[in-house]
Amino acid sequence: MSERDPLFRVEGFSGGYVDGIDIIHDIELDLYRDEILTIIGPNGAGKSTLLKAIVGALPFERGRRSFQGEDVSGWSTPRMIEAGIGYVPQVDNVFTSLSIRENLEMGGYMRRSGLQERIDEVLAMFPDLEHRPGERASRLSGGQRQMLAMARALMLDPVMLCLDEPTAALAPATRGELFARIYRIHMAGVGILMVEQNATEALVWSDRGVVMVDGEKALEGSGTEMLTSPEVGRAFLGQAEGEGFAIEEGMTS
Amino acid sequence: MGLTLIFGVLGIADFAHGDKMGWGMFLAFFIVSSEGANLGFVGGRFGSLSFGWGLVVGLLVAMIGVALISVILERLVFRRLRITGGGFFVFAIASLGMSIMLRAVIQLIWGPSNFRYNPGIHPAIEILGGIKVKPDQFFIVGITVLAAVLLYWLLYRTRFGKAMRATSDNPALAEASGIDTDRIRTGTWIIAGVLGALAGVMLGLQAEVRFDAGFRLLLPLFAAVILGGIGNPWGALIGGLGVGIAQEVSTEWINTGLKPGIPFVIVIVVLLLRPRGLFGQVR
Amino acid sequence: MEQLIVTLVTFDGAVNWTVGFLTTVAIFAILALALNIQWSVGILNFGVAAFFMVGAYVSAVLTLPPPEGLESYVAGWGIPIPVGWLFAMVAGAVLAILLGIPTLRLRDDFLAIATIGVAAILRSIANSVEGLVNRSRGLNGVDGFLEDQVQGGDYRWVELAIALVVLMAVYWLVSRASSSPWGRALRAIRDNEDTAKASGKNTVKFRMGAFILGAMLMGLAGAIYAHRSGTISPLTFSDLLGTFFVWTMLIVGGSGNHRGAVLGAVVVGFFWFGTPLIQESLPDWLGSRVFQVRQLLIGLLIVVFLLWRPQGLLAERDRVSRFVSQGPDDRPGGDSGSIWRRVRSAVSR
Repeated sequence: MSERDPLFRVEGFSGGYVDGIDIIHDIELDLYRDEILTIIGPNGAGKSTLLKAIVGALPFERGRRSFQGEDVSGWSTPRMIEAGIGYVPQVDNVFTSLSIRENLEMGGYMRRSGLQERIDEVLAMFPDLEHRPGERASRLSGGQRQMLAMARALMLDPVMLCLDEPTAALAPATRGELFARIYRIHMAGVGILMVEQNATEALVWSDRGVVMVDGEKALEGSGTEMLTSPEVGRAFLGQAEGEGFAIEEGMTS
Repeated sequence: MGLTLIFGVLGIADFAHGDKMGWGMFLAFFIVSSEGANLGFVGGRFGSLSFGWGLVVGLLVAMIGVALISVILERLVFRRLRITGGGFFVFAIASLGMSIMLRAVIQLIWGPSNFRYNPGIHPAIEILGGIKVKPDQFFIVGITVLAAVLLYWLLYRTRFGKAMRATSDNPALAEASGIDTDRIRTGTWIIAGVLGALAGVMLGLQAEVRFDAGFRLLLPLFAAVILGGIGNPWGALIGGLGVGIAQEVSTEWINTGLKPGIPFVIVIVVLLLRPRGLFGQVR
Repeated sequence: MEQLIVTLVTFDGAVNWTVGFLTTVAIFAILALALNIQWSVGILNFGVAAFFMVGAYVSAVLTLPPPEGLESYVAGWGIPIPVGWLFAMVAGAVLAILLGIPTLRLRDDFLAIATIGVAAILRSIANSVEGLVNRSRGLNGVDGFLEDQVQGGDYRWVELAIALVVLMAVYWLVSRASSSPWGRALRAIRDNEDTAKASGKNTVKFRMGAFILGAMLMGLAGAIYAHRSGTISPLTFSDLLGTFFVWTMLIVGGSGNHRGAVLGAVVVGFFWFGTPLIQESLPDWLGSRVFQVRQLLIGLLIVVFLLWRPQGLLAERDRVSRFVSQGPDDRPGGDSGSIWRRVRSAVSR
């Protein structure tokens, strides 16, 4: 696999939760290992559904998804995770009654060896978690929980990480910290695919952005293109006509 | 403790648990009784205890038997109900139905009479302060504490136990982490079955072997679980102790016939004051 | 000639049995309807026997003459029987309030445990407290309504008429109740408590209302039962017969559906009370165990229905039964949500 082959690709992809009722339609999407790709769009556009489809958590799907050149259409979530894709759902993404360390153990449930070493490695990436591995997840703040959820997903050394609205419930200050953390993970060689409502902020950190509307891919471009495009700005970043690029809250936050 | 496990881990209030205890009690009885003796399980006694190898074998048979019953019922009923999609209600009613069935089968096989594992009078020995304790009771307490320690070790120190807690906490995420939640559920039923059988045999040893003994204990059991906090093995142990002591002590002041009402009063009081149980953790 | 007499006797026997059977079934149908009202708001009452028993005892002690000889029970004011019925309903309501206040706000499973518990405690009180309801000796000689006006042998027809009239009245009442705005609110609560809450309905109040109404009707059924059978003892109100039996009727007939509840009472009642009829013609090994087998089959019946026909014999029209699809929130043990639930959550994203 050369450097410019996509890590993950979906082609002609449609699907939904009920047979015959598609939420997403005919999606074409590539993710490369050396990029952070953010999917934005209004509520109900099918962003989270697409992310679930990618990790094999959608009951009905048509089309093709491939991972590292291999056809993985129809693979279940555990299989996708074992293959090297980390997935962090938007809500309920940690075991609240388990300790931080136990959460990581569960994240690494499928590891055959080196569990303790990996836990130490992952903990080292998150200083907030590192100094109290025995703490129950229910006692963590929202930002720390999100960190733990990501740490959990990193336990199997994924090459790709799917994040569903990682900053949804966080205060602005914490959001920046979390994006910086995601960027650090990315720099360690993990392709990042995330869905975000805080669109402007997310695009600042992204190499590429995709806009979804009504279950279809409406626009695609580099992060900067997206931020400066008047169309995107008007429709999705909550900017008034002619206002141009400005760091603001996403429209739905 | 078996009940708290099912209740806590699987979120199912298993009203059939009491009757599974009843099964444990009777399976062990089968081994110690004359039918069992014909099969060659006759045993002397251990020191001053009222039983011998027969009961040990009986206990093992009971554990395996009840675990099997548990698993079969979960496969046949609960798993299907989970697939067709039923709420808590459906599980509760189904388990009540199974409770009735299990009890009916006990009656069919052994009849409605009461039995004892080893007839005869077993003298109590005096310990400190003139309190009389039967040697069997030492044994029961010892086994119970041992079971609690083992359960704690299992839940908090082993990979399987942690996966059980994870499945209980967030089944979807557990599955997405590659935990085989079906296997975990089956395992939980097995463990609960083994504990139920153990409890049943201990109960039979302490009191009489009777067909509805398990069902009669159901309310005190739920009371103990609620008192101790659902899904918490230490809580269940202490809750069990608490309910038992309250029942016995209460006879000092009130009519013995009212003893069965005590657990209910405890349930109501605990629910009013501490809905999560005395040792329940805040989520 | 002899032949004819035998036929007459059997015919008379059959009529006798049928009248008795229908009376009993009518009483149980009232219980099933009452339970259905509670169930329709998601109240898991595993203590039907408690309400049934309270109604029976209250009406009995109030209408009985003062105790004599070895008997010992409270009241014994000899009040008119219909007034006793009223008090039975009040007693059911009071018990529901006492039980509902601490538990209705809590988790559903706690209410189930609390109700099963209250049945146990009431039985033990009735059994063991001297001077309350004659302990385990039970109350005897409870008069039937209008019994003194009717010739002995014909009274069973009056009993049947009473039970049927009350059943019809109760049926009319619950049907009216469920088609009223109040009933619609109850269904809204059952189908989605959160949404109902959000739309400004005080769900606890509504649930309490349904709980009380059901409890009153159960009390009434108890009173009718007491005056019909003449003798009641704590043993009569076992969990098996007083609670579980009624649940089986509801589930077999079709929950959330009043006609289903009545049909279930007839079907399950026939199954249960019909067993003694065939007992003699069964081979000995089975005949002697027929009651245990019957108990086994009742348990089996409920599990089978839950698994294969959760909507019961008569499915609830236009509405999905409580036993069919539910969301993951209602199912602590579930691992994947029902389809509609997922659609909803997907749409709400």
